[in-house]
Amino acid sequence: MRVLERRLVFLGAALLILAFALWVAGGRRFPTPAPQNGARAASASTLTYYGGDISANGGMAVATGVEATNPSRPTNGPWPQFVRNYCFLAVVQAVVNYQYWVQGAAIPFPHQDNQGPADGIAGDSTSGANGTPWQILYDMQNFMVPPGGPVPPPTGYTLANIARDFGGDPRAQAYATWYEAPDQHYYHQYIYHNGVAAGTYGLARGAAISHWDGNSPDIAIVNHALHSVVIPGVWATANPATVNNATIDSLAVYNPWDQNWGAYLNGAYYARVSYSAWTTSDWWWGPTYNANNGNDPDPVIGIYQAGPGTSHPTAHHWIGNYVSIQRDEDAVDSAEFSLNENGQVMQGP
Amino acid sequence: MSRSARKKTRRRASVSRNLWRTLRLTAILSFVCLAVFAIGLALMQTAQVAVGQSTQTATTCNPTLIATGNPAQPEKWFSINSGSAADIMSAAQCTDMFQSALQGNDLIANALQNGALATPVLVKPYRQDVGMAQFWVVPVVAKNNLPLALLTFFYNPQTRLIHEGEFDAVTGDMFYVSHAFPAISANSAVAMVSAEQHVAAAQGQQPELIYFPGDFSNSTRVGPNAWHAGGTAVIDPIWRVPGADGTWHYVDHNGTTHLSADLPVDPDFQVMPSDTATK
Repeated sequence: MRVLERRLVFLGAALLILAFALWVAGGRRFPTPAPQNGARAASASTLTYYGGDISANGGMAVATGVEATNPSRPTNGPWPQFVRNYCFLAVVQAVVNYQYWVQGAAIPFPHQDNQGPADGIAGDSTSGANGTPWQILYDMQNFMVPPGGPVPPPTGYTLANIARDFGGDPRAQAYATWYEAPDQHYYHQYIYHNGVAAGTYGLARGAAISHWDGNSPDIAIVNHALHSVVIPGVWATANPATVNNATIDSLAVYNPWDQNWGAYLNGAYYARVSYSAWTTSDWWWGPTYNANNGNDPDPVIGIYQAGPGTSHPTAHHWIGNYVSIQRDEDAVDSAEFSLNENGQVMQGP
Repeated sequence: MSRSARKKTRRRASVSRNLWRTLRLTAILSFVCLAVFAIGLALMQTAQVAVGQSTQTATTCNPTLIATGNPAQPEKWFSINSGSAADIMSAAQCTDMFQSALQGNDLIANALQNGALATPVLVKPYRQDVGMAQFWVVPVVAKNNLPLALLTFFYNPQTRLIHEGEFDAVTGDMFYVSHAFPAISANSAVAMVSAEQHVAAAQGQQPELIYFPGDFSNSTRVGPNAWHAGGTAVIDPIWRVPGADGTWHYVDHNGTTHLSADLPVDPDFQVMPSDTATK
C-alpha cells in the first residue's frame, strides 16, 4: 500500500470515528427526512376536516342539541346525558339521531328522556307505549339481550351487556347503535391492540370513511373506560380513510356529560382536541380501557369472555386496549362481533 | 521459456498489478466517501437540534420541533418570548390548530370569527408531582366579555414553549356561559381569603389558578353533595392563595373559600396540598 493510500485509509477511519462521536452527542437519533418534518410542520392551510357535519345547526347540532349559546335552546333536547351513568345511552342516541338526520328524516330520540328513566333504574324504562317516552334503555333491556345472556347475577347495569359493567359495555353500545340506526347501517366494536397512535388512526379512519350516505360519527370509550364520547371527524393533512400516512392534527369531540354536575373531562360539550392531548391526556386515550375497580370489567359470557372465572382466565378483551364503535360495510357479521385493528373479525378475546 | 513467452508473462503480471491497484484505490476512495457521508448525516442531525432551539418573533412563526413517540410526527411548539400577553397570543396564533380553526364552520370557528381574543391566563395543576401539564388558556370573548370558546395550550415552563391543547366551545349550561373568564380576579381571591379566613396573602407570592382531577366516582359525582364549584377542568379553574400562615387557601369559581381538605380530588391521585411548601 502506498503512502497516499495509507493516508486515505487513515482519513476515512478518522472521519467515521468523528461521525460516530457526533451521532452519540446528538442523542443517537437519525435525521428525520425533510418531507416527514414538513408534513407535521405543514401550514394550517393543508389541514382538512374529514367527517360528519359539525356546522352550526348541522347534523351533530341536531343530533345532540349542542349548539352555540342560545336562549331558545330547548330544556329537554337530546343531550346532555340524563343520569350519571347514561353516557353509553347518550352517545348511541347521538349517532342514531345523526344517521336519521342524514336521511332527511325526523330524529327518533329528540329528548333526554329518550335515553332512559330519570330514576336511573333500568327496569323502569319505557317503550313509548301509552304516551311514555321511547327509551333506548328499554330496547336494550328487551330486544338486545346477547346470546347465552343475560349475564348471570350479579348482572351488569343493562341486560344488553356481556360484562358486569356499571353502565353499558361496548357490546351493548355497538349492538344498540346498529339496532336503532336506519337499515343498511352496520356497526361493530373496534379493538385496537397496537398502541394509541394506530388506534387513533383507526378511529380517524372510521369517522373519515364516506359511506353510501356520507360520514358517520364514531363512539370512543375514553378516560380509561369511565366515559364515552362521540367523534364525528378529524382534521388531517390527508384523508385517513384513503391513505395510511396522513398526519392527524386534531379530533372533533362531543361529550355528553352534564357539565352542570361539575366540569368533567375537558369541561365542555364540544371541543376540538389536539392529537397531542388526545393521545396523552387521562381524559381521552392517554390510558387504555381499564377495569376501574370492577366498574368496567371484561366480558363474562360469549366468545369474548376473559379473565378469572371465564374460559379464558388469563386473557383480556377490552382491558389494556383502545375501544371504539365504528360504522363499516360488514353486513355479514352481526353487531355481536368485535373487529381488530386490521378489520378482521375476532374469534376470541 | 522463450523471450516472447517471458514478455507475455510480464505483461500479464503488469495488467494484474494495475487492476489490483485500481480496485484497491476504488475501495479506499469509497471508504473515504462513506466516511464523509456519515459526517454529513451527523451534522444534519446536529443542525436539526439547533433548528429546534430557534424561537419566533412576534411577526414570524418559528416552531421548535419536539420528537414524540411517533418519529414521523414531531410536535410544533412555539416560544412565548417575553411572556407578555401579546407574545403569548402571538405564539398561540402560530399553532396549526388555531390557523385551521379560523377557516372552519364549527362552534370554535364561529367563536373565532365572531369574538375577540382576551388576556391569556396560566392554569397550573394542583401539584407538580402528578404528571399533569400547565396550560395557557386564551378566552375568545363576545362583545359582552363573556367567553364563546376557551383555547388551551400546553405550556412547558422550562423551555417557555406552548403547543396546541384543546379548544373548548362554551355552550349550554356551562358555568362560563354567564361569567367572564376567570370568574374571580386574583385580587378578589386574596380579599376573600382575608375576609373569610382572616389570613393575609404571603408576602411576595401571587395567587395561582389551578385545576385538579375531580372525584367523579359513582357515589359523589352527582347529587346534593356533588362538587359544582370549579377546579375540575382546565377551563374552569379555581384560585389558590398562599397564606401568611404557610397554608394554601382556595377560592372556588363562586367566590367561596376553602382549605385543602374541602376539595374533592380523585382518590386515585395524591391529595390536595395544604402546606405552601408543596406545589
